[in-house]
Amino acid sequence: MNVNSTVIGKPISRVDGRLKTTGAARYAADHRPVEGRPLHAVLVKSSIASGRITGFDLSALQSMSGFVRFVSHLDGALIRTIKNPVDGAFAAGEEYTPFENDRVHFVGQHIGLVVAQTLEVAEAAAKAVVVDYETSAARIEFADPTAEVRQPDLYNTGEELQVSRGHVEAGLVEAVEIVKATYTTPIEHHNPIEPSATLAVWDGDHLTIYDATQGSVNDKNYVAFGMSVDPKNVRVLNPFIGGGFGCKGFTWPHTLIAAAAARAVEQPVLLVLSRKDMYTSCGHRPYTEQEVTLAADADGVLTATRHRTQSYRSLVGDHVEPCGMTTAMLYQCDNLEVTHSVRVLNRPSGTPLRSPGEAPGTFALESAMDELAEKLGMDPVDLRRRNHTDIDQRNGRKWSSKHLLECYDRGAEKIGWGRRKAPGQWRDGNDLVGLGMATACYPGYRMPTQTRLTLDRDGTLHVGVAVQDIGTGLYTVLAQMVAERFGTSPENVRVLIGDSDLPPGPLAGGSMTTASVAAAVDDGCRALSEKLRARLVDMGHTPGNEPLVIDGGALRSGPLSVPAAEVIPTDVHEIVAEGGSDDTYGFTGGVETDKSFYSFGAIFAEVRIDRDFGIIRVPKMTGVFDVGRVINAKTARSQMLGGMTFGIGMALMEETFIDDKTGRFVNPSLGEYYVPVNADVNEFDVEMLDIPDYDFNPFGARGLGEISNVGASAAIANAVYNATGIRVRHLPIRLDDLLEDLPR
Amino acid sequence: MAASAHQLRIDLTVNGTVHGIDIDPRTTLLDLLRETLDLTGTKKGCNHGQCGACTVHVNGKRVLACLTLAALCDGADVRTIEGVGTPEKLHPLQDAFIAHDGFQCGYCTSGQIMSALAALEEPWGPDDAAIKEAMSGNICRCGAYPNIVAAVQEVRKSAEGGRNA
Ligand code: FES
Ligand code: FES
Repeated sequence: MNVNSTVIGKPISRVDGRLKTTGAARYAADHRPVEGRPLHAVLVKSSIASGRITGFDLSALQSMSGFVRFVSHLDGALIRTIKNPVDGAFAAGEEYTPFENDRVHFVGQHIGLVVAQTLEVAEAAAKAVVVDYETSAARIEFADPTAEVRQPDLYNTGEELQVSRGHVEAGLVEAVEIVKATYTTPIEHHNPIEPSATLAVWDGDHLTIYDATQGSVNDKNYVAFGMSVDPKNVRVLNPFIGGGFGCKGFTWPHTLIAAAAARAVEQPVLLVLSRKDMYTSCGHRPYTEQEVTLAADADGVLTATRHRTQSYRSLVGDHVEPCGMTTAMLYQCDNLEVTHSVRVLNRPSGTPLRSPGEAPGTFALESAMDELAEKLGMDPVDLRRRNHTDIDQRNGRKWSSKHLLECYDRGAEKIGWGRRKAPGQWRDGNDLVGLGMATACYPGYRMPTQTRLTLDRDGTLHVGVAVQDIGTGLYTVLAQMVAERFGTSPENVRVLIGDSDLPPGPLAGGSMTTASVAAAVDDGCRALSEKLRARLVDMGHTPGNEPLVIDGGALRSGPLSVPAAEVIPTDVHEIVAEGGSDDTYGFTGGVETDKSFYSFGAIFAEVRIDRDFGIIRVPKMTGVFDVGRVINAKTARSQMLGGMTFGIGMALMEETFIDDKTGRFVNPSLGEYYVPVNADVNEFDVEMLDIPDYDFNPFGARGLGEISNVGASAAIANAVYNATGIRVRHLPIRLDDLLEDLPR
Repeated sequence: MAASAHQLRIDLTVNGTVHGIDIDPRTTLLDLLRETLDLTGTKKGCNHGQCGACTVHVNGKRVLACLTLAALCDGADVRTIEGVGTPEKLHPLQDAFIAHDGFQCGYCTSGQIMSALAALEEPWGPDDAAIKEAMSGNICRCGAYPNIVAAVQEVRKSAEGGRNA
């Protein structure tokens, strides 16, 4: 690795920028079949929370000109029953097969699909379907005493959800100060601006799907299973995805429904979810209630930690919001208990949403740390420093690379932490001003990935891998990695991703794509390099030991320089090599190692609160992150801005309300579910320590998509406390929470 | 399009090309652009006027195409992102969006650019706060806001420089 690289770490503009800024980048709903136009499909969703469908009245549809077909469970086995959603080949968002039977488990479940010649007719027809139900008792309310409560052992990464070490009660006795409080976080929705969409095109028993998915390979295997076709016959294309944040991670029923409908009507079908559909079709972050107990001695050293999370799951989806996983790992504490329980409710299914567990979990943990610091009369940064550890508390391993203390120092300096005053004491005109901070962290994950590296006769390099760029900058990052290995410019590299026919890679989730492709690209480049050297030797050249450089249409090694057109025989056009890595890190069954891999950071927020109206603004946020080597300074910074913006939304705006009687989400639209807009964000000061983690992969990068959202809501909540002296233990924090008690 | 029994005929100009089209009276300008004219650069994020992804210009003003019935666009002059620049020949604002990384996933970007182009002609002030306000009808869930402001400012300043020169 060349630390003084001219490519790695540079703020290179996105290689796909020209397509994205001109409307030429095609997202799922922008594709058209090779011939003709697709039929349009609109979902029919259940309006009851529990029961069965007793019939559909379609009489109004039959007379609609342009109406083609209605499909539902009454069509018989359109879709093969999926018994186990995670059979190794794929992970689905829900453990159920769409249209399998007449059962309804939640409001918004897909119970039918209208297919028509135009979107206008499909929409009108879907509204005209009359559904008859037989309703049964539904458990909707979070506290419903009749709801089944489960305590799952493992999260989907294989990590333990029920952790106990030492003796919490003994630790409590040792303590001089104890904080025990309950924090809640609301239902939240991903709301990527691109709604999920699927265009399904059959050609005999071959299926091509243009899908808004964060994982083309996963999608392919799921659809192939459900359609009972060989996965080789299914191709998923997702060259551009309009954001996902988790809701396009695991595959959801609508994709399968679109594929089944296209087969049934023997024509291409385009299904674009409405914004309202997005609230019940592809997951959400469930509501959490977290009871946190922190106990410390007079020096602020933690003597006991307890973090009990209660959340819920649907009847058909097994997502658990793993809020306490961070707590089990982060601070030195020998007496600890972390538990998770879920109530089984007639609600739509949850799923990971940008930093699942970590984001709501650190709101609770880092708020409690702030409360503890206050009780002890300690500076909140000092309290964290005091409990800092170089050992992963879960397993006693050393961190591969951890520079959290430096993050605290840099962050405190950059935000001007020294300006901080006692709660409610800092006034500026009509504003109450406060500073708050929190620790950020996110696991380092890596999954098996293969790549194909190609050199063509022009001397252009090509890299292909079935991963996807959901806005992270992966197109550019891949070009940089290959360019680095061959001493050339990223402009000389063509990147092929977003196609399940390419060598397989992981889905875009868990901030793991960059680390995963890093190892695969490294190996692919090595393989191509070896092939090219062998070819040079065959040609009678003697390449030296210097790295092979491919630039300006020629291959160079030391003094040797041979045009690519000469190296590559005319009859083959290109030389292709494949490489990759089968290693897994961070998940069960991963590589045996004596290290633990995590990214860390510190987030600081300044808030200003209007003394009369209680309006909360965030004039400045500072984030300092230890995320390994940064591959692209420009796109990495952008991801951090995005995560911190997500954090502002989580802290101050976002909440989906559910009606406990009917089980309906009350505000399924961007008009009533508030997300940050341009005027809501101000100054972000982002710094990355940029210290490579070569134990993790050959480019030294760890992920960075999620960590910037972790801790942000706690930093803001703690700043609100510092400004006002009012502790708000639920999200989002609204002016109503402050108005009554604001210091005048 | 033989779908609906009831059809209306409209004539409109899109990016300089005149179209005479039979439409379903329910059709929005957004669906007309995307599904009939295959101008898919304009995006649908909400279909309810809440996100700004569908912003286009009608007779020189920015409008939300999802809230505009196509039938009301008879005789209108429509400009979409495809009429601003091409990957080979970018408009300066598109260049500035790339330089400042004013997008991530890119899905809101057509709307952001159309909005910004119109806003630059509207009577907003020159400071960042004014631009943030002018651009607050365009949601970017990826959170590219500060970079969008930087891109718009660059173009605004260079246009101002041009005017003052
Ligand atoms: S699609 Fe028109 S404003 Fe969202
Ligand atoms: S770039 Fe993704 S929504 Fe704006």
